[in-house]
Amino acid sequence: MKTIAIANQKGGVGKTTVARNLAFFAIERGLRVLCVDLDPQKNFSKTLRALRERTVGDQGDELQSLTGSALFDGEAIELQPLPCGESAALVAADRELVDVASRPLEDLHAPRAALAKLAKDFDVCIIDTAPTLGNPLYAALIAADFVVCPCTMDQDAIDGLGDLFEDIARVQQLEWNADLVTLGLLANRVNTRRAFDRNALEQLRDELGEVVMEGVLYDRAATQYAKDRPVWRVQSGESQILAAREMKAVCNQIFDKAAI
Amino acid sequence: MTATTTNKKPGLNLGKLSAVAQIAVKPVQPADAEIELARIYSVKQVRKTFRNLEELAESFKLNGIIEPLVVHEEADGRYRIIVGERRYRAAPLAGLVKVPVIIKKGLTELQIRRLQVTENNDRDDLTAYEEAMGVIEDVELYGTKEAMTIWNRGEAWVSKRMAVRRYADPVRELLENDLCGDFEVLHCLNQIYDIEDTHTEFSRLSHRMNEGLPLSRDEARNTLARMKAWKQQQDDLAQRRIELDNAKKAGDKAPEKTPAWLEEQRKRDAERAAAGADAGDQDEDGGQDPAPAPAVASGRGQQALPTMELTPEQKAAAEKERANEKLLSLREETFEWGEANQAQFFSMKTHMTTLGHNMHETEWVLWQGFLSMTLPMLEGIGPERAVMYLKKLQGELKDKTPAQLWEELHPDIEGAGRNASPDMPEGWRF
Repeated sequence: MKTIAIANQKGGVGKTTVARNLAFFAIERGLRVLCVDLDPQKNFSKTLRALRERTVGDQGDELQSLTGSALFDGEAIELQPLPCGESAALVAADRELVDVASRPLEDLHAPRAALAKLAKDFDVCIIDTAPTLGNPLYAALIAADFVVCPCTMDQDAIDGLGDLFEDIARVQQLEWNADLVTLGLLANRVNTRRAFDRNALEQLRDELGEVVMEGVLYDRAATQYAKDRPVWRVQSGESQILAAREMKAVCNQIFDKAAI
Repeated sequence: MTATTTNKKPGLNLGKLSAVAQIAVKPVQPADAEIELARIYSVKQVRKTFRNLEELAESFKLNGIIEPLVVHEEADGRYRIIVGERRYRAAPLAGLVKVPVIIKKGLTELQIRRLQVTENNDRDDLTAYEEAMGVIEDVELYGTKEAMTIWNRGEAWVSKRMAVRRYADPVRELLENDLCGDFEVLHCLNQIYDIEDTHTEFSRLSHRMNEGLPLSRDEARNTLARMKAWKQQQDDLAQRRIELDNAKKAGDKAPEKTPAWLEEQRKRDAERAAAGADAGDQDEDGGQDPAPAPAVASGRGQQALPTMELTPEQKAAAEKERANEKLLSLREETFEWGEANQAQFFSMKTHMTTLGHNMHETEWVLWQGFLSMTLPMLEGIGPERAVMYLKKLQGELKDKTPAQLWEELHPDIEGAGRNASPDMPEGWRF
């Protein structure tokens, strides 16, 4: 099982959008996908529950299943992820994830151990993370093999990247997870009509070189609408064909880089 | 177009981001990198003494350096040692110009410090003095909590090392010279040093340690306990002497020096004694004490006619009566303190509510108060009995609330108030 974390402490930069499209991309490739939602806002979970509704017939709210905060039990996890269709399963977000921030550092290695226990049943694991720095992010980065950082072209988001990469470097350099590979910065919701966006992307490429992923997601309405399905399965819309093409290209690049 | 581009570029300020992003994206440096010694430098280390460098250098000549040093890449392109100072110092002695390293980047001072201590700590070969100095420095720089994390130890462990700052110089020397690395023993020694102005006992012990005879914890503790007991005795004696002197002076001079409450007490005693055996039924504890009438009578004799010669039997009976009275009043006081304690806790709780204390603060104050009231008392009844009592109480509290037990023990007799010193029930056993 290869684990990809989607991380950026800034909210609204497209973490969940990328996570859900990656998950569907994997499903359509016939891979067994474990979707882990570590964001107490639960949006990634909603997507998977909707998928379960379409395939199994219910959202699985009534069922006892493995939750995000339970991953901190490490090897002692008892419940299983919630099955969402043939080849996908969900470790749903729960309120208790909020408490991760106050856990001691040694606890942050537990989710990695928990996921290792599930590894034989899945090919890919996608982790959607909470919009924070520090402990919740560390736990996700320690558990992951790869990290992708979506980022929108606005001043605040770009200013926050330094802190984000510092946290990633810390996890690697302090050998909490020395093998963590940064797949790169994914420019998201780039509006080609805005000079600021064009400039920012250009400068990011100049300064960061290969850190910025080749594929770019442009600002398309269709991407925003696709909450419970991949953008390439949205029925209509002027921007849908372009949005679908871009998203698939990005997913392809991520899987290529992660050798999935 | 070009103008806007150049205008906006400084706005994004990506220089620093670029550096840190490169670290995050580049795979971790392989361990087999070799760096010239000239590019490595060291700053102050936890370790102060480097033993057997020559020996280590000899081993390097034979086997090379097996374990890589850990260094931190600094902004100037040089590498600062995080772990491996001793190897760094021994390498040139072995004629080496390059050493194997693991390179770390972008760490903060605190993170470097943690790595450093972890390494030395895990290998456990710092001297006790180096360790104490390291801990003290970390507490001063980062605070106790962070120091606990850095050294991965509890608060008691840290504070024992912090105490080194307060050691008397001769005690600290024992630590510095590696004659004693046990902080328990050192702590005892420091107290032993302080107890005597002449430091005779301390000198004896320190001389002995200098001779190479170690001092065990038990021995240090026992010596200290003995000296403390002795010191206490001396203090008590001195105190008693002062009291005797004062009493003499007071007796010679004015009797109004007697405190008011004592005066009151004496007056009451006198009245009671004067009232004699007839007062028996008026007494609020009346009928409870099996105090024999002759004792009361002789009490009166003693109080009312102090000049009268008493027979030894009368004296003994008077003594017994006084003790009985005293015990009763002590028991009454104890009962009253119990009620006072309760009131005390109620008002503390009220004040804490006003102050908006959180759970932990509240718990702390109550627990503290509980201990303050209980511990001296437990010591008073004797530590072993204390344990028995607490167990029994714990058992009784399983079925009843404290208020119920209190009510049972001191039932509120209508009109008469609570009985402060109930008699032992028939056949009662602990």
